[in-house]
Amino acid sequence: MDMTINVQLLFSGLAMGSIYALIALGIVIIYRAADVVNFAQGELVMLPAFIAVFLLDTMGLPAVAVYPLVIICMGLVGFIFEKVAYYPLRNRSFLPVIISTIGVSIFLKNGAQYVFGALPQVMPRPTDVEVLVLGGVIIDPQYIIIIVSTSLLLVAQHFFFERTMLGKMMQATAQDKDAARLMGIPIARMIAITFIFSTILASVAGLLVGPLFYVTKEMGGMAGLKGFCGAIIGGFGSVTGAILGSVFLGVIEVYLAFYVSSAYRDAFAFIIMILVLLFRPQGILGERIAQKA
Amino acid sequence: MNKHIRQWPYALAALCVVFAAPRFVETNYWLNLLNMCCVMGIACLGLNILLGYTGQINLAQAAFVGIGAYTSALLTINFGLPVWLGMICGALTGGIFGILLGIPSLKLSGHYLAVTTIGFGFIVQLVLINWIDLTRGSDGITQIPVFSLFGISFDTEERFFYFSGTLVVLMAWGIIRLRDSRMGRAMLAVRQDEMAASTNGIDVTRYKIIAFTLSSACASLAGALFAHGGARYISPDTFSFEQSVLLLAMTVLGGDGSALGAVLGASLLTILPESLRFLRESYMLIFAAAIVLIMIYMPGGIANLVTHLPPVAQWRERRRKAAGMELEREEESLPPLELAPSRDCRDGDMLRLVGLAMYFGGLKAVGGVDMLIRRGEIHALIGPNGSGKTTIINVLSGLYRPTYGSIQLYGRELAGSPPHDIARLGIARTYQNIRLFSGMSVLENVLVGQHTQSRTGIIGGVLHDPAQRKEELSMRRKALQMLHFAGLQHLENEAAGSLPYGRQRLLEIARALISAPELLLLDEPAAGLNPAETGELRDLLNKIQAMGVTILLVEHDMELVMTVSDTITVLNFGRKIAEGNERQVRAHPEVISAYLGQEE
Repeated sequence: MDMTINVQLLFSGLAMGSIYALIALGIVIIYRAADVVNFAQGELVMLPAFIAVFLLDTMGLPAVAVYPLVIICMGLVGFIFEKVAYYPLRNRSFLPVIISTIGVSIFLKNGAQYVFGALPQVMPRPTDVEVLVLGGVIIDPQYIIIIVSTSLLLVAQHFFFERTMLGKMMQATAQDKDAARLMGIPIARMIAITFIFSTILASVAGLLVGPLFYVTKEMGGMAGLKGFCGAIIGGFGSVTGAILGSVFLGVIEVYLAFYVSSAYRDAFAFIIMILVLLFRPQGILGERIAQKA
Repeated sequence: MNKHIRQWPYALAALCVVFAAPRFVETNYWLNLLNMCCVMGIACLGLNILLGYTGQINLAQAAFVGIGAYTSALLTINFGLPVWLGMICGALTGGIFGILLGIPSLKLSGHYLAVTTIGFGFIVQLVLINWIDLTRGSDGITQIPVFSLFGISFDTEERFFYFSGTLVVLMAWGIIRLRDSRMGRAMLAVRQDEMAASTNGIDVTRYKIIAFTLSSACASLAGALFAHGGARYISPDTFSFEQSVLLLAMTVLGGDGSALGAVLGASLLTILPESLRFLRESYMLIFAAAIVLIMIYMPGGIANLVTHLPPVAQWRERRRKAAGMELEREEESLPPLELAPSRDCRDGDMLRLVGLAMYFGGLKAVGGVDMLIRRGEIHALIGPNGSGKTTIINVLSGLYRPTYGSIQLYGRELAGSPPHDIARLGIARTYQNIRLFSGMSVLENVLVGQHTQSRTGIIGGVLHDPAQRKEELSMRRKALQMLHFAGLQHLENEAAGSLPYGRQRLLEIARALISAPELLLLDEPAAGLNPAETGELRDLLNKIQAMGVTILLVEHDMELVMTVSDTITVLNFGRKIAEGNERQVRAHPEVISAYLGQEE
């Protein structure tokens, strides 16, 4: 076994794990606030990548302007998303919501293709550095950008939820809606803000992962599902669990793809998730999920 | 329940439509589309059993279509199996994989089950693409043999449609019949309330697995049909996640639990996109938007829309009234109810709790209770809130496994047995906050109550053979007698959830009582009743006791407790503090201090 390869794999795994973590976190906070799973989270990763390519390449805007602009656009998308796919169905069972979010995901995929065309696009990288060489190990600098940005963002969101009034109000909404309502917290607005926040997390993931692969309408779907898998592996409903589970999934997936089979790469996440669900349904962290009425 | 409404004329009419349809369809293109409607319709009929009847989600239905298609195609090509045999093998293989996918459903529900099935679907598709030696990979399989039966080769679109159309009609008919059978009602009960289903003797695990198996077998049969008809070409990308979503959307669009709706939904969403093709790129957009809009604005699907059309609604109302009249006539002609709970004459010590303890984490809900319930008595269990009364009921009915201690019914250990086994051994219960199958009719609720005393399986449920009919008739009779006994006559066809509160309480007791239990556990039956209703309840309890059923009564209404009970056990903080008859308990100092507070 070559040590350099293993280190390279580790970095690539940590980078993918970070992307999954951002997606998983978005899924979990929506789940906690609104009790629904957003099956369109992956498409909220794909859309910002397309918008960024459009603004950078076609419009020729500088990167410093593009990133904030994309985030703002996506915040708006998150707001509309909540109003269309969740709000009208908020009092119904989980099934219509699942199908409705899947409907939105199909809509966004085909919408992106309709607007931006069917050809795969290339998203410019934020740095000109081609490769980093650290002690003989060759690393894609984008991996480092992904890992560092994600870590910073996770620390920031932690402070947001623990230290700011808005964050605390959102947490209260997630924990007990009735009690929160009695405290005068506007529940509906908190849920809307949660959707926006979650969409922004997904957009950051999209902006970070965009330069690694081609930007296509399919780029988000599998990543979205893997984020969900990561959240379940970590312990669904737990924020820390979602992050740990996703990073674990990202790393182990890269090694399995390299050493076992690259053709079945996309199957590993599901296999691990199903095993976790069967043998340790509460995940690595987190509470028991097997619902007993 | 529409036993007296003949269904076969409708099935015959549907068959006539199938055989007339090709006369009105000009081109092979449209015939091909009709064949696709049949394939999708059969896959959706499967989902209707799973989702509509049993309430379980499956986002891998297309994978099962694929499993059936590949199994049948490969068996007929590689081993020269006759096509009909290949198709049967395809359906069986799908059923076996369905059992596999059903296993996670025992532990998981809702979103977890959804993502597990998504994962399963992706894995199947990856195997189809990558196991090239077996499946020929992404290129797919071409020149699949044509379907023939009894020397007739179904090689044209038209001929094939006669076959697939007939199959759809027969399967829809069977699945509609299944709903009105013991199996179908058990599935609906599982969907409405798993806990209440299990304490009514329904093995929830078993019914979920059966539903997954049937649903997957239907999908795989649809797949085999797809492989041997039409283009006779299959490739992995047909059996995608998107296709699974589409199948689910078709079923939901069709309507909640309506087999006819599932076929209509499948046909609509097969033909609609084709007629939207002129929109080119934007057609998928419109299609996706339509899915969201359907979820928002058509909660009951097509079936619900159709049944609310004025003429249909009037017809249904007339039919319901006629059925109600017939039930009333039948009810009046029946003798009064007789239950024979005691299977043999055993001694008076019926149920014995020894050192029963139940901890939740560090919380001691019940801490070592000994109790004896004698045959034929009304035994009340009272105590302040949080003293562990409902916990004991939950342990007795098998919902909780006790931390320590034993429960013996005539010397037979019950601790650790699942709820449905305990129900079968003769312990029935009601719930503090009523758990009826509220979407089902009053009569159906009482029929589900007879689950442990009936035996019809799937085949009987689909075929409605003489043995099934006989059993159904006797169950119905008994149900009517029971409703009369409980004072619920003339409400048979109402939805259980639409009854007034007091009637719902009575219905829940009727549902428990009809299983002719040895022991009936009643958890606060008088809660929320007005004085008149409480009076009725008291009479009912006395009548039940007179029939020979033993009752364990948890109740806060002291007047009721004191007037009906033979023995009273008083709990406080999970311990027994007193036991005896009314007078002994009233005079007990600890009881007085527990209820009135202690003077310090």
